[in-house]
Amino acid sequence: MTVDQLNQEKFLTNISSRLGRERRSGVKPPIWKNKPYLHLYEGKTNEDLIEQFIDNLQLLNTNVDRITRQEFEVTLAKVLKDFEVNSAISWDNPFLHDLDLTSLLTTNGVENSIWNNSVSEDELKQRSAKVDLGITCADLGLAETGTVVFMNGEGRGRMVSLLPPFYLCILKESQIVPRITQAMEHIHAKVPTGLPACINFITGPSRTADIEMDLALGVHGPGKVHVILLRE
Amino acid sequence: MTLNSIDFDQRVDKALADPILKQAVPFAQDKLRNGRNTAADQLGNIEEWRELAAEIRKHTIDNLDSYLEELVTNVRKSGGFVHFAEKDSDAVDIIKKIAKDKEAKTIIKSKSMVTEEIHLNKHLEAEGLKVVESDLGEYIIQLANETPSHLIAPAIHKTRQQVSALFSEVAGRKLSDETTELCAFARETLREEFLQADIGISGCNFAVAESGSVVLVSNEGNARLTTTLPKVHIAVMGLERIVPTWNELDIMISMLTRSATGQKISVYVTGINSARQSGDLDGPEEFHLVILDNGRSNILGTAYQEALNCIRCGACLNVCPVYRHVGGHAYGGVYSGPIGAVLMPLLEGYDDWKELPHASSLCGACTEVCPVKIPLHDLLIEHRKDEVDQGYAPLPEKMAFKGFGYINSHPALYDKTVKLSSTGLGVLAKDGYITKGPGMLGGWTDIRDLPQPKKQSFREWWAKERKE
Repeated sequence: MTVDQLNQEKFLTNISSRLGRERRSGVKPPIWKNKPYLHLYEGKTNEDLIEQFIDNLQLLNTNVDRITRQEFEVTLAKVLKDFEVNSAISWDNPFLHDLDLTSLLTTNGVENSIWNNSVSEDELKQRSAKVDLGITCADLGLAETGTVVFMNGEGRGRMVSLLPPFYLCILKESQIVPRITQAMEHIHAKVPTGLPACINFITGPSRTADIEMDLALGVHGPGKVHVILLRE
Repeated sequence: MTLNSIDFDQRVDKALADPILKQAVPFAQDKLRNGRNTAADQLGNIEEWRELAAEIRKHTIDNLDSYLEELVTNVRKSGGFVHFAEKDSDAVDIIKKIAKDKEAKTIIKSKSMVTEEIHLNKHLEAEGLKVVESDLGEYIIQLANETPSHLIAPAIHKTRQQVSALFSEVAGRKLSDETTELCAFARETLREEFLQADIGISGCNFAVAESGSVVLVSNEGNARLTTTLPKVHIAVMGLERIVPTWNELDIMISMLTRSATGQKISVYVTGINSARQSGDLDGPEEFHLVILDNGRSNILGTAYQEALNCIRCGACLNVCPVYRHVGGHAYGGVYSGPIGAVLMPLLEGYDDWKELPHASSLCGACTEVCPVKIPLHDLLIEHRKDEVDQGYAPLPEKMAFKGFGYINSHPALYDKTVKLSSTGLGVLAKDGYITKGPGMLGGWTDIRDLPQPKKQSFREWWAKERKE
């Protein structure tokens, strides 16, 4: 045994002896009978959940544009103008490419970088730190909290939703689920095939109340967040 | 750290005389507590949630060796390094060694109580490393050279004027005391630190055994920056901070943020499952998990085991009448409030912390709000009992209880004593209370009044009643 293994054995055996029993291995959690979250969404229609998602984000200073694919061009232009965006960085992602994102940004006078290895990692980092806006899509939206959930990795860089002062997330109505429970089930189901390095749940703008309990936005992450929800 | 009873009294006196604390602590408490209560009401069935959360914690702690083994197996499987630290100094040495191997010069940290517990910054700075706290509250108290005074709001004891003065010194120019300006300054200054830091050190809100993940909860986003920008990420966790699968994490996150601030969820919940994977263009190249015991395993299998269920939400601090009056620093330890009063003596012994279990009115408000149903006030009583058993009670108190026990088990003597005390102490009473008792009774009346004994004892009344 290596020193590390010996150390581990000592550490774990100490725990079992403190617990007054032999070592255990391979324990699985029971099926919990109590499901206290069910009543929060039972009987809710998809429409209810979408409205709940939008309402929750509005409470967190985040507006949601619920639009059709045809309205995307106009909506994006409005968002870019409202937030005075001159530069952006976006994920290298088929869903965003299908929306013609880069060419629409260019049309609106916004210089966009795409998160891929066409430039160096250091350059990606520098650009993320400098641009006005980061744009991503998401895997899920959680109605109960107004959260967007996504897996990072490859073309889905973590810094895009983190470093710029303004963050835009685009997702489809069909991606909205009731609550964190469904997101956790989604992740749990992916465990056997391996998870990406990082998973993020984002709910509105970065906030702090560390100075006299006074709310301030954007202390580290984006201080402004906007969501575009595509109707289907 | 060595503290004695004089220190404790002095700390309490200092806190009680502090006009800033008198205002700031109740203000923060009310805000956080009201948030928590609203969030609990919105759920509509908070008791069912607490029940389930407690069941999950109990199951996990009862099977801690198995889940830790599963966790570390999975961390290694995805390329991470695992380090077991029995004591605080072991954890410090492990982290120092990683920093040395990586030739690190600067370290950025996100909020972590467990690194406060092992006084990590002090040790790393002694090695010549630059260590920067990035949570706004932690950054403030680092500049002030202080310790956190609340589990989740570490700088509630500082005013905006004090923060402005601290930041102005760093800036080399006078900043206003506007929250927006102060936050903008912190963003700009800390962003530079993030971009050039060699190592990021985070805590761990929950580790998920089934996937070897570390989950971090934050509102500011500093935990994401800490775990994204530097080339090396070190997460430090107490050995109990674990859930079996992502499904149990659902319940824990749902309870943690609601109990802490009343938020339905924090702005960021981030799962770190490994160092960067092939094809990734950001994220650390190396991931280390340090698992710390530091006295925790001694709590397993004892009457205090449920204290390990704690998820560090701070709800018990926000309802505690004692915390309200003295704030976090008076407790003297890294963990304050009711959970601190339970934990500090367990982690570091009665020699330094025997007063803490007495810093409670035993009103039970803490137990009522605890999201994982730790019977906090029962555990404080348990401590008081253990202190007496282990000889930590003051001598006069011990003699008094010994005497009381003897008298109580001899009925004739008891009757005589009760009668005597009624006439004897009656002389000392004013408005039905004795405020300054003689002899051993003084030990009692030094800190609280004693009701004047009634003329007729219960036993006399009972004897008479039965005859009639």
